[in-house]
Amino acid sequence: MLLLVFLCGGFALAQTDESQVDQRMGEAYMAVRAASESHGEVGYLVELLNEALAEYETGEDPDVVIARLDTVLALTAEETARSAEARNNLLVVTSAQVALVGVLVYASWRHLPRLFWSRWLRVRGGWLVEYADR
Amino acid sequence: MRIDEKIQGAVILALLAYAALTVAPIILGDRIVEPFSELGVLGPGMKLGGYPREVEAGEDMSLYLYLGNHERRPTYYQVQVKLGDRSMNVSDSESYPGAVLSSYRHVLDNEANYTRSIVISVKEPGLNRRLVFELQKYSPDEGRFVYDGVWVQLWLNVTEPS
Repeated sequence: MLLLVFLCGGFALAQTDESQVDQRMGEAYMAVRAASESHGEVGYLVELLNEALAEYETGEDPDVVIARLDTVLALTAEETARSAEARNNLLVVTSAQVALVGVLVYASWRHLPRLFWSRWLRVRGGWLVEYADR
Repeated sequence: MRIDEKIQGAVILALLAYAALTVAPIILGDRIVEPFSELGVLGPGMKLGGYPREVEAGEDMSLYLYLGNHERRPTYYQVQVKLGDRSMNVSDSESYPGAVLSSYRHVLDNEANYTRSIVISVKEPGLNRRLVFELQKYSPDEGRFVYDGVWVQLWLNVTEPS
């Protein structure tokens, strides 16, 4: 009876390990996918996920696989934060560029003709008008 | 409003329209109309063709599995190899009900592909056996693999071992 309980307990533990790996793998994949949708660079994270899958396939200890997936989750969080910061920086730079172009277009439209013609008159303004009486 | 102010407004509007037309393709251009995934089975020479047609029960068949991701995001795939026969047809909407011989999982980044060798054996002899390779994708909503409607199959005659 005791042996049966022991065997059932061992089987349940093995089942738990397998489902835990599957669950953690799903979580890690979802995190990587979210990082990708935030325009993060996820190529190396995908590689790490596949390494974990390969280890699991070759019968590696589920605890080791779960530890690797936890590392992926931590790295993914870092990548998500980094990509969010990069996106904010890009937004600031793009906004500044758009504003600068707008100001330049408006200033050119408003002041360039006057500047051009005043310079032109200064350079070429010494006209001499000759009148030929026929 | 003076004439030159009207002209000024018209020029600014024209410049804005030009800017919008220039920027729009850059923002929208890389959006794919219909995302899709690729599944292929290659023969022992890693080419399309040369597939085994007749094998002995229990004999190892060496094949290659090819996956391609054009889903615009990293995708977690599972390929299940199932055994069937003429009595059951493969559907694009429902998973094939045959017995699962083996399954393979892989995560692919967007626009990436992957080829791996696989070894399959069929234990029971029979004529016109069907090996169905079924592509499943991990569904974030359901938290499990879901049949994608993509499949390929190989027909086999499995003979008694000599």
